[in-house]
Parts: sequence; structure tokens; C-alpha cells
Amino acid sequence: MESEKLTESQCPTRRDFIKLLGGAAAVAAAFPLIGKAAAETDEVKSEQWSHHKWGMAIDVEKCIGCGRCVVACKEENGVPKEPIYFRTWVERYREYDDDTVVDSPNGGYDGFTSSEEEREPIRGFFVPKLCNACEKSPCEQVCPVGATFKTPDGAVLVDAKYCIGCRYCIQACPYGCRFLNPVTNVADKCTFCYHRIHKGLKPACVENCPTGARIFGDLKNEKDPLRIFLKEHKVFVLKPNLNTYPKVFYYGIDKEVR
Amino acid sequence: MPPQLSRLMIIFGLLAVLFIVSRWVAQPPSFNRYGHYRGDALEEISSIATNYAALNSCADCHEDEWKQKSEGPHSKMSCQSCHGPGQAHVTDPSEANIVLPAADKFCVRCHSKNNSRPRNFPQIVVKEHTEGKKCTVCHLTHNPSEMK
Repeated sequence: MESEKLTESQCPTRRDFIKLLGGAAAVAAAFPLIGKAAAETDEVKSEQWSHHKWGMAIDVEKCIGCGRCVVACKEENGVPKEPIYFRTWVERYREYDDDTVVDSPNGGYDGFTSSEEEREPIRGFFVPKLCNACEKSPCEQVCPVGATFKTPDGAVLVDAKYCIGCRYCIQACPYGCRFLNPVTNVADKCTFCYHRIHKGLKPACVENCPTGARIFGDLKNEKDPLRIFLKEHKVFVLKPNLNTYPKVFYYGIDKEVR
Repeated sequence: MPPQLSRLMIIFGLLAVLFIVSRWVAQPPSFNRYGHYRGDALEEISSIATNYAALNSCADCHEDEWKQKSEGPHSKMSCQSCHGPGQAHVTDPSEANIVLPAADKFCVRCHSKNNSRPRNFPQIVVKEHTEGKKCTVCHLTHNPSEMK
């Protein structure tokens, strides 16, 4: 057909011919792109992913600071045992008249001890921390290659095969929830135990909490224990002024918690 | 059309083709399936094997311990919270075993007196309470509110 068109035109210049070639190449290149997109959009599956919206509530008044969640997280996810790598960790807050002492020895991995000589605080409590699974996550926004992403069901994950280890997301996370995994050399973080929740289990930290201080569930399901907990308690999120819209809610913290 | 403009258009056209082709080559096939990321990563991450087995998987073999635990204050606790990850043990009990926590050091991790713990949580001053004995000398292991 193209040859016919060419013969019809009076005198095709070389320039015209090259233009035609270029156009044909562009069309040829664009066609497989369109075909690929149409073939691989599996609508049923993506619908299933977005049926849920995972979230967590943490009842600080129940947390006893045993650190079993930290141990469970490291065992489940193969997080390096060095005391600087944590997907979840526990902080101890002790408020006195004049100041507030915050500590987290080994992230709470070995539990917390208090000596008898210690001053009795006005208020003391433990705050477990983890990825806040922000609805508008800064780490996702800064990733230059699209390796960090928010899944249709609300978790924020790192694609270890795609991450280039630039550490930008570690800088961007206002909650300090990310670290560079020394084994894989890519960014690592809490996934809400994505591999467990898709097998119908709860995250390791939730299942291993002896007092039930962590409540995990589906924010889209009205009968979920998490939704019921959020209905019955006045909860806070960390750093609400940053407009990150976290999906980890805290009950029982006070203004000292950052 | 002036010739310099059409020459420029050719160059732009070629660059556009180069962009489309290189994007086609470099981008993983599942990119943009759900969003601006590799869609296969979702399946890859969700199919990682677990180390902690399901909560009730201990009940089938360890009936006595399970029954004892369910009658006491630790009824809602996971066995693996104390005994460590048990998926390997559930899969093949002869190959891998769970951890037996040291009773004197392990119980106090939760129950030693700590002024940051909730006031209503049962806590002991270890020196006064145990007198150097292991907890399990007096307390029933899986139902510690009962005495031996």
C-alpha cells in the first residue's frame, strides 16, 4: 500500500521518504506499547488488591515494653540483628517535672529494665513505632525510580529489585522508619508483613504482642476489630501537621510523643 | 515549510522514536499495572514464606499445653511469642525445634517491676519475689496463675 502511495505522488524527494520512514517507525514502536498495556491489565486482580485498606492501631495503655514485637519482626522478616536496623521498635517515655526522658535501648529488642534508684516519673509509657503507611507518603513521592510505592490495599512497600539504594527515601521519611539493608543494599522498611496478611495471617508483631496492644485490620471493613477500636477510642496520629495521613493510630499518647 | 524547520522536525521525530524504543526496552512489563511501579513486586512480596506459623497450629500436637494455656491469663497469647518462630517446626517437627525460653530470665522481661509499665499489669520486684528460685518451681508453666 505504501509503495502505491509513493508511486502516485509525482516526485518523492529523499526527505519525504525519510519522513515517511520515521513516521512508520514511530507507529511501529507505539503499537506494541498499547498492545502490552491492554493485555496485562488484569482487572479482576487489581480489584481484589483494592478490596482492603490495611491499618493499625496501637493501644499505648496496654503496651508493657516487653519488646516481643521487635524480636518477632526481626525473626519474621530477616532484619539484621545489629541495634541500628529496625522495622519496628519500642520507645520508652518517662516524664518528670522538668524534662522528659526518651530512650530505646537496642530498639526494645531486649526489653526494658528500670533500676530501683531511678526517679519515679510522673508518667511513664512505651510507644511502639513502625512504618505509618502514610496515605500521602513522602518516601513514595521522592523515589526517583518508582521502587517505593503504595499498594492498592494501603501498604507502602519497597521493590527490592528496582531500588537503586540512593537513600533519598530514608531522608524523606519523617518518622525515621526506613534504613538501608546492609545485606541487600536497598532501602528496607516495615511492610505490615505483607506476605502474612495475604496468607490470611496478622503481622508478626501483632500476633506476638502478649497484651494485644497492637490492633491490625481492614479500614474498609466496618466489622473489623480495628474499625471498632477506632470508633470507641480517641486516637492520634504522629506528626499530623505534615499532612502525611498515617494509617497507624495511637491511643493513649500525649504531647511529648513525636 | 522552510527547509531548516523540516530538518529540525526530522531530528525531533527521531528523538521521539528513540525515546519510545528505549522506554519499551528498559521498562519492566508489569510497570504501570497498578500505578507508577513494577506490578510484579506485589506478587513477589506477598509470596515470601512466613517464619511464624498460624496462631492455632500448635494445638494439634501439643494438646495438653494448649489446654493449660487457654485456661490461664496467657490464653490470648501466641505460643510463638515465648517459643520463637515455629513455621519450620510445624512443617517438619523432626528437623527443627522451637526455643525453650529460660524461665528465670524470660518471665521477668514482662513481669519485673518497671515504673513505665501500666499500673494494673502484674509486676514483681524480682529480688523480693523469687528468692533466687526459677518461676516454674512454684508457678504452672503454661498457666502461671495456678500454683504447682
